[in-house]
Amino acid sequence: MMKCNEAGAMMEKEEFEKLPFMKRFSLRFHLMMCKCCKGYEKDVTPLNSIIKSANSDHADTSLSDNEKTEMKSSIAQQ
Amino acid sequence: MPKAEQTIDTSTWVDDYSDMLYNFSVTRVNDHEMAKDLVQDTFVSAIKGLDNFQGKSTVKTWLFSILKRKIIDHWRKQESRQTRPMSALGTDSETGESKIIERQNKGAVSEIEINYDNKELRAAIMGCIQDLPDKWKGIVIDKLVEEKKSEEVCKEHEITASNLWVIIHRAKVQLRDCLELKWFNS
Repeated sequence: MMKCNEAGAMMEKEEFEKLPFMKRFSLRFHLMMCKCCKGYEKDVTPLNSIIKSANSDHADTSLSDNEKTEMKSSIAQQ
Repeated sequence: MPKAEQTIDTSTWVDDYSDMLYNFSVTRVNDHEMAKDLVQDTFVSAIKGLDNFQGKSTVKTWLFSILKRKIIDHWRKQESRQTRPMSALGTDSETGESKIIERQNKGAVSEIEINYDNKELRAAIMGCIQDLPDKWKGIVIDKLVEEKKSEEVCKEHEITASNLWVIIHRAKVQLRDCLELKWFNS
C-alpha cells in the first residue's frame, strides 16, 4: 500500500496535473483506508487558494512616487 | 570584456524596474520597508558591479538575479535570529512526519471562507510562509503563490519533480497547522 508520505505528495501533484492511472488508484485506495490523509484531502484545495492570496497582486502596497525619488537620490549618493 | 559597445543608462532604472522588483520582494519578505531596502540595495550592487554585466542577459534578468540573492541572504539572517515555534512541530526533513500526521485529520482549514480582500487572512498566511524553512520558502512562493510552471520551479531550485511534490506537501502541512493556530486560536 502507498505510504502517507507518498499519498500526500500525490495529492499535491493532483492539484496541478493528472496522475497516471495506477497512482490514482493507489491514492484513492489509500484515502479509503487512512483517516489522517482523508482529513488532509479536505484541506488541499482551500489551502492552495489561501496561499495564493499571499500574491502581491492582492495587496494594496506599492512604491509611491515619493519613495522612488528618495530611492534615486540615495542610490546616487552611494 | 566586450562592454564598450553598449553604454547602459542606469538613471532610468528606478522608473523602469522598481515596481516589478518591489512586487517580487514584498511577496517574499512580507515587509514594505525591508522590500524597498532590498530593491535599493539591488540597484546599488548592480551599478557598482556594472563591469560584470556582460550583456548576456537582459538588464531585467540581471537585476532579478541580484535581488534573488539578496532575498536569500535576508532569509538566512532572519532564520538565524528568530526562535522558530513552528519547528517544534517536528517538520524537519527526516523525522518530522509522525508528529504531523497526528494532526492531519482536522480539516478545519476547509471552513475558512476564502476572500482575496480579506486582509487578516492574507496577513496570517504571509506570516506562516515567512516561518517556513528557507529552502521551502522560495519553492512554495514560486509554485503556489505565483503559480509558476512545475518544470520552471524545479529548474530554478534544482530539485526533481517528485521532490517538488514532497516539499510542497510538507510545507503545506506546516502552513495548515500554522494557519489553524493563527486563525482559530486568536
